[in-house]
Amino acid sequence: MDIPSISARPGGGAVSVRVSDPTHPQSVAGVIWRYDSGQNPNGSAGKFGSDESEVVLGSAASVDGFFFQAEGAVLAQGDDPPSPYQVVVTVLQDGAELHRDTPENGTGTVGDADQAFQYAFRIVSA
Amino acid sequence: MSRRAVVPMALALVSATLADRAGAQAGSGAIESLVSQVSFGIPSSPAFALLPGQTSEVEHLVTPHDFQSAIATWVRDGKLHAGAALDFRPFSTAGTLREYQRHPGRQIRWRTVLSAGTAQVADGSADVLVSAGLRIPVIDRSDPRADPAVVRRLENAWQAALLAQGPPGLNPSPEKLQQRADSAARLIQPVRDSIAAASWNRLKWDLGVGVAARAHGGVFRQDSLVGDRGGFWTALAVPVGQAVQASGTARLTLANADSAGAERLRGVVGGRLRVFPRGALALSAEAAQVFARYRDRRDEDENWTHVGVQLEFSSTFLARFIRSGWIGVSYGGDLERTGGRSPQLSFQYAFYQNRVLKR
Repeated sequence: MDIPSISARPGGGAVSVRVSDPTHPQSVAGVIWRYDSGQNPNGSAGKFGSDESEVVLGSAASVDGFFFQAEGAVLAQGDDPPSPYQVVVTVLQDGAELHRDTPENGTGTVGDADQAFQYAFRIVSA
Repeated sequence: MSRRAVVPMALALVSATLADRAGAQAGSGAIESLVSQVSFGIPSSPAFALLPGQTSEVEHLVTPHDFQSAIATWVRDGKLHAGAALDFRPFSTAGTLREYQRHPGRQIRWRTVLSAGTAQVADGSADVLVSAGLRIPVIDRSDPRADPAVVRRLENAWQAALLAQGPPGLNPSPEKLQQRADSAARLIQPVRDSIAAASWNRLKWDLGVGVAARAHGGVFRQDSLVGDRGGFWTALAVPVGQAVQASGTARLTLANADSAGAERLRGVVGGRLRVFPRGALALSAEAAQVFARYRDRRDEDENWTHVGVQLEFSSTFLARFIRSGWIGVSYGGDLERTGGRSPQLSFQYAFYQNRVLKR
């Protein structure tokens, strides 16, 4: 899957990412990983979960050229029959939506097994 | 010999002395049969409980569109196709998790499951039964997603499990992603086990309702459909401390009996107490009143009482001599029935690998 490049205004406020299922009562949790412009791992940018689904990545200038990856799962609650989920990843700047997408494996049903997903993107200050 | 070993030994010896009146089993079949004679929950799919035979494969549908499409395939050339089974959450867009946790009404709607199915009335018959049912878990205090603290514990554990593995490469392969998820799932299993152990006997109240109609000759037309049977189920489970669960159930099945002597009504009202004082010991005691009514044959109407007591334990001492991990002892069956049938009570003991009484 191609990694989308998301343009953020250089003089704008902080860039953040929200990972959640806005239409189903699912527990979505995971970690936002950060990678430098050479795609080398550069630690974690934060954690997301039901209490805090938004992770601040930094100012547009400080994350220019950086890659980020949301790695998480829709946690199983033993649903019988399995229940539907749809994970939505939203990149924001100053609370305004810059980009919104559903990870390739972010839609389906969850029963007894956690459903893992990942979504990578790059921030470009422009 | 320790006191812990003496108790199970004594029970096993008592079992042996009663062997002339008892049935000794190599497996757990006899114990399971007594425990499962009366169900203290409601059917997971009430629609299927009204159909003859076991439904082999159930289609789990997600969207209203999936549901409509599936139903449309049931009728071919005006005839109902037998052997279909589906279930569906009719209210699956229940908002965010936080909204769900705040509104009990949303919880009931989300947990409600609609089931529907078709089946041949009997081998060789052209008639087809079509049924629909609802399972409504009205109260479920063990619902993990309704408790913010439980959700937080699981999510924190999952995040910690990912962090412990370090960052993956960018855009990992599905296999690599699954491998990491499997590893995280293993790491958080103790948290899941602890949540399950703490919530096993929380308050629960379930309702189930179902109806079935017979399509004569399989023809799906209003003038060919006749009401065949209906069922109502309710079950309540109440915690008594940490180790005990008290349950009550009531169920009623009504049938459109078309010939004299055919069963037209069957009801069950019962109660059960289950005790899990510690990991290697469990006790269950139950009693239920069953009644059956027959068309135009009031003299054949039946009432009887079902009783059962089961004790199950495991012993590390006995495990040296018995390969099976569990020992089950049960006494029960049906007390005297109307119509002069004698009581059918029996004592059973068995050695088996997988425990029968579970939380």
